[in-house]
Amino acid sequence: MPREHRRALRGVVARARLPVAIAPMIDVVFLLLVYFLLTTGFTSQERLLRTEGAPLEDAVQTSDRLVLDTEPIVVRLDRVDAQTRLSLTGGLAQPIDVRGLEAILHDAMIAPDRPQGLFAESHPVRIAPGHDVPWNDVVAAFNAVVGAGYRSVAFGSRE
Amino acid sequence: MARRRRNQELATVEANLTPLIDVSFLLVVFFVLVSRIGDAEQAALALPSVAAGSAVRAEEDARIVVNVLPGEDGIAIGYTVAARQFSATPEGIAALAERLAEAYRENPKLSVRLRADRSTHFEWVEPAMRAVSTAARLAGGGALPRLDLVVEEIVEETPHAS
Repeated sequence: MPREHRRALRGVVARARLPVAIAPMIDVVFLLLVYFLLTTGFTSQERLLRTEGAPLEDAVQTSDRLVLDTEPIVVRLDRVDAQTRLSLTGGLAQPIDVRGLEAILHDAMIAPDRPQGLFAESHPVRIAPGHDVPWNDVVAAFNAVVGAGYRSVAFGSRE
Repeated sequence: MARRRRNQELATVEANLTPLIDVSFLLVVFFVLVSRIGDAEQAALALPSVAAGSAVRAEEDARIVVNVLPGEDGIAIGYTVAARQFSATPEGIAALAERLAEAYRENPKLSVRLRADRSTHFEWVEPAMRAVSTAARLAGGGALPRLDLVVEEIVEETPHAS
């Protein structure tokens, strides 16, 4: 083979080598990076506490003229010295905090293992917060009452 | 002469569309996600926190979201429903109730999600709850005031065994 022909052939072989295109790969990597960054940020911890029936006891009474057959248990929330103080009606023990509230209400409920309980799970419970009680404490009290097993929980007046 | 022609052929500029398409997709994904961030129905609030497991996951059901916009020292500066703002005055509350009644007329089984800042005082949240009950009454047609309180779950870390 003549030397010139061989040199020309070597050039063709060199040019035929496939180059690795990194640009699209980097683009796709950035695409995935942005996607996961944003979707991770959106994984919200938001959850719902469902209220059964009317949220406000007064509203039910005025709209449907419903008269409650049984006196509800009233959970009062008062703001004293920048703290929210809980108190219970119905001759029950007084809770120190929301965990205590849940325990007291749970123990007062009639259950197969507690036939001496005072209230059925359908017994109405009214949460009566003071006007300056932070929403966080109101929700905590509501969650404690529902956690104790009561199904008829509403917000209402303090009277 | 032949070599010059071959060099001219090699110098032909080709448009590489791949990065252009990639960048276009990048922009599409970005705008889709950003438009979700700026969701009009959810105001930026510090929600009340509850222990994990005591609240249910928010499903994509028929709902309307009422936000109680916090001000300073536990007051609320207003309420929003789907980017429409209502003042924290009796007139504003009445307008809010009317807006919710409209939604109830469209769907009597609608659930109302109440989002309020954890530091907002109850006296500013109560009018929104009252508006929900009033709206259901105004709408009639068997509309039930179903209210869901929006909270944030505290993810408790599992203690490590020593």
